[in-house]
Amino acid sequence: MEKSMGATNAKVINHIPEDLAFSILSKLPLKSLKRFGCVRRSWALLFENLHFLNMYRNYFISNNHSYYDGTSILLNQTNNPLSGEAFHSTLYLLSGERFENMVKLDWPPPFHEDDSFIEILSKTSVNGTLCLAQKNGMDLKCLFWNPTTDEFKIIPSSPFLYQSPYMEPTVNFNGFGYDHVRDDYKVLRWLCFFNITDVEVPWEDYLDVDAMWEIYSLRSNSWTKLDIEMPTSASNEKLHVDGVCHWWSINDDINCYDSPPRLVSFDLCNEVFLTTHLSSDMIDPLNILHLTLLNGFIAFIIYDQTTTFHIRILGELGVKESWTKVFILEPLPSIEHPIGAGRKGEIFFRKDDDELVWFDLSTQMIEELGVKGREHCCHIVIYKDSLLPIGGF
Amino acid sequence: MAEEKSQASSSKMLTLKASDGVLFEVELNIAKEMKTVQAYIDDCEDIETIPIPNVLGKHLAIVIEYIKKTNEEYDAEFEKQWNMDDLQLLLLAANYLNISGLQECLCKAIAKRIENKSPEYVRKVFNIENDHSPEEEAKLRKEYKWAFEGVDKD
Repeated sequence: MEKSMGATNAKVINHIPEDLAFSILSKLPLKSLKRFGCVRRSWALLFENLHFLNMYRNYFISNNHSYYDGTSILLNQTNNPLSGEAFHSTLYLLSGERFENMVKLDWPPPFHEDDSFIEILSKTSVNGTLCLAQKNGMDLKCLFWNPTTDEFKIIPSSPFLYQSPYMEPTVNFNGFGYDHVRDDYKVLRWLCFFNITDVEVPWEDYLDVDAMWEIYSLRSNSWTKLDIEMPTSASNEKLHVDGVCHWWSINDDINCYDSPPRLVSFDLCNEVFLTTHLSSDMIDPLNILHLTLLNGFIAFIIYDQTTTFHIRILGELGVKESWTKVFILEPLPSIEHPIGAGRKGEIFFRKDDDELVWFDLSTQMIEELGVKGREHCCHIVIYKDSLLPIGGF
Repeated sequence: MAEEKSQASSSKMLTLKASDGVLFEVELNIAKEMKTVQAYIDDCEDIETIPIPNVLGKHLAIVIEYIKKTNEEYDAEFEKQWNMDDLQLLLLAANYLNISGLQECLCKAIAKRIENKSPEYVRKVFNIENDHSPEEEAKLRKEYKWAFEGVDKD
């Protein structure tokens, strides 16, 4: 029951100055801000007002999103070998205010012999469990691993990989995540098939195998074919938030034609997807896009090849006009590309000399991590540990 | 669980006088949370009664209570008690007294209350006049159609 202070609160004195109003507005989601542009003229131009923009940025960076409660940061790094040397993926746990502590974690036994190009799917953990994948020619490894308990569980091979002895599959992992309705862990993949060359296929054995989607469920411990037409991922940037796997693609729904880039969001619970196109001013053939989660929000870090990066935050899933430009990173010389974001406005990058660094959005300072990494092979993972057995069941 | 601010070694008391003449005796360390009061003390060290001409007694009482008790749980419960008018007046008080913690809490509270409302509602709440031309507003509504979905009825 709301208390009221009585009739002395005349409307005359109830005037919040614009400055304070901005302070209130800076704490609102993008959808509300766009709607309130109708309130008055100055509010329609909020994101062009530097004063407001600074308030909005400060709140955005400092506001603790619950997604990050109890989490740590993992760095999955691949070396850039000299000729004759092998590739190795190394996993580090970063801690400390300035990530000054880097502890190397050992991969689970299935990767002890070959630890090259190990991918941590969707850069996420579910109840302390990561999903690791490695594609090495014909060899395909995929398993669940809890680095805290060292437990691992190998995911069985899919019956759809070798439907025809004359066709070779190419596997594209699109996501790993949690179905909270069935309390299940799921892995999503896209397969496409190519004729094995130099092999004469007997006419009676000819089998045309179409590209297809498949999904693995831990509860049923099996792969199921998904009857869906959906664009597969074009990059290594895949995310998982609240039971939805996100990636971006330059394919159309049947993965046959080149299309303008779009965000694809696949709901693991009801197994349907939503597409969010990018606004026209984000699409430029010279732009390099990097999809990431920034303080809990889906964002693209866009590099326009003039050493200036800017960040667009998605206001509403499915709405291409809602990508809002919030941050502009002043020219960062010799910075090549982002490798992920931390928990409080830190953005990790790789420099052109292979050095991995992190950039603090609030202080605009750059610091080296002390390790080098290969182009496009290093990623940041937000990890929440747990002692639960894999699957929790 | 309310957390009382720790007793400073100097439990010197100060008197704050609200705009309607109501007097409040507070400890120095509590009064110092209001940076406006702090500035006053810095200027005239021997002062015992500090005038607060912009704030009514009933609001100053709430502000002092907040400073004494503040923590996150208290914040969440605190803002539920007041109607929109009082929240705004409290924000003006906190702004004048320069108490950043309380300002943040109140801004967040007001933001939460207007988050899903219509522009008309917001104009009424903040007593703002619409300076858009009808054409301008219509254009904005069309451009941001997606932002108007699922909005609370006024």
